[in-house]
Amino acid sequence: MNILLVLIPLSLILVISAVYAFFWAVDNDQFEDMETPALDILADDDAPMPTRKSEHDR
Amino acid sequence: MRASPCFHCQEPLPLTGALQVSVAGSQHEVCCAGCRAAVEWIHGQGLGDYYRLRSDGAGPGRGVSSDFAVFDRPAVLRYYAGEAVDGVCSITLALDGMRCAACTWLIERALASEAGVLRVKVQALTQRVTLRWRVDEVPLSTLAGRLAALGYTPHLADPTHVLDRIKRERRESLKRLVVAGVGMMQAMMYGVALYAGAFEGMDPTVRDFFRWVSMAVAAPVIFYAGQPFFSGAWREWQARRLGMDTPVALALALAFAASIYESSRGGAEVYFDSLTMFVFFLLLGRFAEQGVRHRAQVSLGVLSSGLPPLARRVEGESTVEVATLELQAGDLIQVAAGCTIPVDGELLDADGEVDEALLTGESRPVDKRLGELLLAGSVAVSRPLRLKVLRTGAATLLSSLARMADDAQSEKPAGLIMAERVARFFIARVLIFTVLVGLVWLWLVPERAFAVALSVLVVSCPCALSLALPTALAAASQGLGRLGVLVVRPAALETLAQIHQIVFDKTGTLTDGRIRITRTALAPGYSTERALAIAATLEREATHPIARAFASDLPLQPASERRQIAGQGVEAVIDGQRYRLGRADFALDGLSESPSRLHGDVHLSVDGRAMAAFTLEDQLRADAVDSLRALRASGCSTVLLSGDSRARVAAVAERLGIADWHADQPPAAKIEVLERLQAAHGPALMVGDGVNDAPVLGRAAVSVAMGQGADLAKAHADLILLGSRLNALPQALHLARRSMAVIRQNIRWAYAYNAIAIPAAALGLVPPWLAAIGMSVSSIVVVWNSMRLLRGRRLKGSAGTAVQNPVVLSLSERG
Repeated sequence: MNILLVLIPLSLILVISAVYAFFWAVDNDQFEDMETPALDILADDDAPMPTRKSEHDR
Repeated sequence: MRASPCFHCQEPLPLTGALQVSVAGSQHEVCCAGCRAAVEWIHGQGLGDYYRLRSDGAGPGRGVSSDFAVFDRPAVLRYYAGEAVDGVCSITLALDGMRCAACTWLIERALASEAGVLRVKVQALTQRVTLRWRVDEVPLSTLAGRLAALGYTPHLADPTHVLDRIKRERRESLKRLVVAGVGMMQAMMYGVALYAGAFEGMDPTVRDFFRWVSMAVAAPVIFYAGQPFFSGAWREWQARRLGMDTPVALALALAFAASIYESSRGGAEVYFDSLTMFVFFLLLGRFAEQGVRHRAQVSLGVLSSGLPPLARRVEGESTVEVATLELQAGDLIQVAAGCTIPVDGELLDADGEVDEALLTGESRPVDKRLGELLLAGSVAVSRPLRLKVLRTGAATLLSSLARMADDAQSEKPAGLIMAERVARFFIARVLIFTVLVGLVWLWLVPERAFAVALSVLVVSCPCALSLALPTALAAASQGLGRLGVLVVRPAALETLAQIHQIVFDKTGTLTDGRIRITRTALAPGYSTERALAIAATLEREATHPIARAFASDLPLQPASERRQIAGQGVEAVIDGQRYRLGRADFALDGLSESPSRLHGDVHLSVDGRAMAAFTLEDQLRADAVDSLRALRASGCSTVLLSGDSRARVAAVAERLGIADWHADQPPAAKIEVLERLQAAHGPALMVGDGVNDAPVLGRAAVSVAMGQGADLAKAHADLILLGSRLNALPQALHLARRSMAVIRQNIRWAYAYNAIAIPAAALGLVPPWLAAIGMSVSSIVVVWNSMRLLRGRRLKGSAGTAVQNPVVLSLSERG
């Protein structure tokens, strides 16, 4: 049973890093819009994304 | 028979004059030129995917208009967009008409394709778009016009702290929810090991190890995720008021302390797993409710309680439209009848009537005299008002009230307050009962007393009871939102469910409010141009839907002593002569039987003599017939209450199958009729859109305003039909009835659960872990039951079935 002494602290570290990653994501606007990004992938790309282009032009 | 709605906006097609648009090799029907332009533009830009991706219609396209010139004023830009850096500005605009995720997609691409735009970011949650653009390359008004042309009307959004607060709240509760959820999963796993150990035998050292690990996982759940309950309980304690947070915080603190004590002395039972589960499910319920509340707060219907961004400044003889923030103390401004006063100011007219409902809740208009204080947020009722600006922006009384309300709201979710009324008497009794049970057990079996008392406290936590109402209301509000109905006052849903009679105003409600002049009858000696120019001048600042019929390009004349009398007409003095435009008995004042009377619906008189009469054409909303049929099918009687003339009202009533109609009703008479109806047949629902409907809306048990209606009407409404789609009404009614049924089920369930669980716990039959599960399950049942209401999608059929033949009402006064 001594393996528990390693595995459980290890699981706690994993949990803490997962929560930390989630906090980071929330603070960096990753949860602001839950719907549009899913659509982006469905759109055909023949029309180039003008946003990037004009940013590049500068 | 047309089966499909408008290709672009999904509104029912008009009965006449639907347009064809041909894109990508296929033909589609659209409702108006604006939508056609939008479809063609979207395809021209290679953004046709929008129609494939979206799940709901767009707002109707409005054609590229130049109404946004005020957006380019330097003062406006400086205030809303900040100083330009290297010619680049950034601004956040509020958008009207965003209905689904594809809107975000379309807006971002549409604006990004404009020259001079550097960055576009749409925030779907708050319905805002943030733009960075080069000021010298493209004026903001062009971009705003582009948005409007696509059907998303932009509004200047005050950089208000409400949105920041919403964003912050949402982030905080997301974090809390996830901490509680992850903590719960961990604690449950250790809990399973502990229970297994309890049955199978477990080494005490291993058991204690698991207990301390559980504690380590539960601590952040209690103290971080559960923090709102402790601060809530503290507030309740300070206010000497028992709320739902008190027993929750008490149970959390007691159980956590007891578990630590038990762990340290190697006792029989710890409750860390139950605690985390308790916190998680409570937070889940709150998170769902908060989401609904936030959506209602950001939607424009509710934000219209703010001040209008534009005002009319009096400069010499004329008025100029300026941004409200350009106004300074001492400026003279004019506020049109039916519009919201943007500043605190001093009345310059001899007298005037304002509606201060937003500020005082008093629904009757208040008389103001020369020099009296008019408050920002009140509405000019009967006539345009001139006032001298005293305080603007954040200095106004409304702004300080709004700040107070904001603060109060951020502390207490509105929906919970109502639920607490239900739960409060329950909580006090449960606390007393818990102490009694604890004392009895202490006397009989002291070593079990704490566990039993804790079980009673946890099992009886009035969560199910307090969730019964808010979750159902929240789910119903959200379901209604999907139907295009904005719920302003959630409590109204309860009344909505009991409605069996519906009172309609005609103009702008059953008819689409687009009125055209079809014929002009003239008294000898006047020309049509002259009559139309006078009429246009008179109606320029009026807000009645009829006013729009008179808007024209003819030169307007300076006018003074403007007055708008709700339900009667308008009058003003032009070139020293008093003109009146409106109902025959108003315009012709006693001359109604005179032979000089002209043939028409709206009469124009000069100094009491007839000058012209206009025949108006009024079109039924395409979905009016179906909606009324659906309402009658659901057991509602329909009543038509209109200020319009007999013949026109009768024609509409006949076409819609309304047996009970009242024509020629001024607002006061409408109230009388409504109250008679309510006294005779119980609560009534009133649908209206105009300024003159506001008092009646205030009296109806449930009031519904059309989304395109006047601010004043919306301020008095419980529900707002956002797309002005009438067919949402029968569905809303149905949903409200279902939600009341769900609430009844929820409450019955909660009582039944408590009736069984509390005695069982008091007798010591329920260990605390089972109590926590029981509590959670009872809450989940309630939440799940309420969630069924979310399936209130728009019925495809009713939006699509248009009426076959045109219903154009072109009637004269004498029918």
